Amino acid sequence: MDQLFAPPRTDWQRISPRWQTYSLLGTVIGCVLVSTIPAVLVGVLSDQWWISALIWGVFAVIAVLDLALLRRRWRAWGYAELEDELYITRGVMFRRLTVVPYGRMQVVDVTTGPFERAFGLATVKLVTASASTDATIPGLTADQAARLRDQLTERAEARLSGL
Amino acid sequence: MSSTPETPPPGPDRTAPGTLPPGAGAEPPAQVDAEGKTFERPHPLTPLIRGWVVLVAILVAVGRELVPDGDGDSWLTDLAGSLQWVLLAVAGVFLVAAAAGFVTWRFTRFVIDDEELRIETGVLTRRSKKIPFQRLQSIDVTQPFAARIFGLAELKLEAGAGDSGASLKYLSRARATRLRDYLVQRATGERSSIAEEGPQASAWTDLSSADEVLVRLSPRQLVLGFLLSLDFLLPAVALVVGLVVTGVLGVILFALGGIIPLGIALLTTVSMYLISQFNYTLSRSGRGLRISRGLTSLTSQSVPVDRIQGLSIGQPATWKALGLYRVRMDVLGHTSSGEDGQQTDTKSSLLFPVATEEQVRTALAAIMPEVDLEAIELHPSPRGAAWLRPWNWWTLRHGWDERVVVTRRGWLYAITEVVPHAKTQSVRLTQGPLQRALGLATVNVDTTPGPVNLAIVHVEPGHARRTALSQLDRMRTARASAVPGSAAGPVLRQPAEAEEPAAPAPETPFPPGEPTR
Repeated sequence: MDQLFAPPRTDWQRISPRWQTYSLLGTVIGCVLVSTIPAVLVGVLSDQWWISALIWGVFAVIAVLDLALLRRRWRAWGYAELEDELYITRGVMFRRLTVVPYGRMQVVDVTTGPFERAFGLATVKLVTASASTDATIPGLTADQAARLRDQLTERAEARLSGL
Repeated sequence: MSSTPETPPPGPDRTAPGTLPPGAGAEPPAQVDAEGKTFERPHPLTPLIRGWVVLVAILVAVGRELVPDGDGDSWLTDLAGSLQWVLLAVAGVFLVAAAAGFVTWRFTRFVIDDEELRIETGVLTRRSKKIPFQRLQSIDVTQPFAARIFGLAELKLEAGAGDSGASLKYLSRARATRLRDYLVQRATGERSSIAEEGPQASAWTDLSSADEVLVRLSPRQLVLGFLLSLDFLLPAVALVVGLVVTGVLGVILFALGGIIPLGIALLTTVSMYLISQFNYTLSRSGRGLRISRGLTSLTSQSVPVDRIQGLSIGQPATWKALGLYRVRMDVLGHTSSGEDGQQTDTKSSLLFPVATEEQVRTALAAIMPEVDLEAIELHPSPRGAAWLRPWNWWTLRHGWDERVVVTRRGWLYAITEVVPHAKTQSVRLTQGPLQRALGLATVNVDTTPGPVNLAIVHVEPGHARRTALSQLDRMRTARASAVPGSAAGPVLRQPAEAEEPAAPAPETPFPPGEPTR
């Protein structure tokens, strides 16, 4: 992975590989939903079904591109727990490294939607007093998420610093 | 006194005999609950003031309608004949508002003593709100004109992120300022007792002998600064251009419908600004900073110095020759960010509407005594930034010392942002595809929501990474060393909690596979 965004002195912990399937499913469902309504409308109203086919085709290309990039997108996610801070990286095109000191955490949020639950995944979100922190780790297994949550709250308590 | 303190059905039986609401001017009636806590009520005149405030709001709205705005008669001219009906309606509204105010007053009580700060409100749903002293972010005493006439004031408490805070209206002015002084002391972590009486603040400026005035802005300075600010100049220029163009074309009569409202809006802005910022005074009492201002309604905002999360010092190009600055600050709770990330200022985040360099220096010395902004070495962004910021790439600067990180940008409106390491919430390093192609990266230093959004934009990636990582080290050191009474000094002194261990025990990122709970 890119050296620019690597954490110091340690390696990234990866998110679950199942996240790839989950993410792909999300993209496919999204594409089908978004493309079908305009495509059917155009087809029924104008009887020009080739336009509908074009719309479907465009979204099919998007889904295929997503599939092609899927592995890279998955590999771009990572987190590392160091002594005083949590490091999170994400993004293929827009690379991002977020570092949150444990003492700055206000809330640790674990969420899992119906689809995520079907894959046994959960999302951990760290909330600080800043709105722009954006520290979210998706695609964790339930065990990982619970462990991370407990570790984070424990460390946050030990290092709590006032606002 | 047999009912439980949690859900008291406050009927007349709750009030102890002899403590029924006395006449105006007396201290509010007290109640004693089962724990022996003495509850206070807001001042008995509160319903009247609330009704009055509603009345004034209506009159102002009606008055606006009466102003000629070029579209001929309004519905109000029809009403002029039946004036008695209008007066009757207004009186009715006043009575309803006052009645609602009375019910609210009757069901509001609070206790502020050496142990706790608790406010109980609500008619149908009782709500008891307890705010830990060390969570208080800022404490305001505001006196709307109507309240001021009767010597009353509202006490507003801000408790931080995700909390709407609390407000007590109205208390007698003396009571409000005494509670304020006590709460500011407790918020900074000092132990003190509510029974101790400090010197009384003056009614005109809200200053007492214990307060040290740091900066007072003269009306001349306020007016001059405002007339030269972009907020005023841009609409004023638009107005003049509109007049000239329509005058030359000979269609000025048709344009009046647009020009008159614009002129009135401009005049309103000027007078509102002058009335609200009149007698702007920054003072210091103990570890709190206080900003008091206002001609008709007096607003006095108290912020413990170590609750200031960041500063933004701005200078429009038109102020450059005069050496004037506008200073804004990040204080938790002053800006609420909605679900969509939109930030709205719920309160004034202004530290100075307009100040000379000397005045800014005085304030900085009070807020961050150990920091010398001028001594910080600033680095420019590389030339490549010109592709992404053609409008101001040459003005981009950043730098840091062991206490703060500083950025500077802009020329039409030059902004210097300062964030103490001890107040930084998180650090982000980002790079988009264009930045990658140009060999650039951005470092964001996140603070609480507010006017300060510090980012070191478009610097060389290796430098960005070193900056971000060393920034984390500086934050760690800053959090660990405590200097109370300075925004740049690190952890607040909180009596019970939050003392970071000076040397954290060396910990490895958890041993793998070890069950935690």
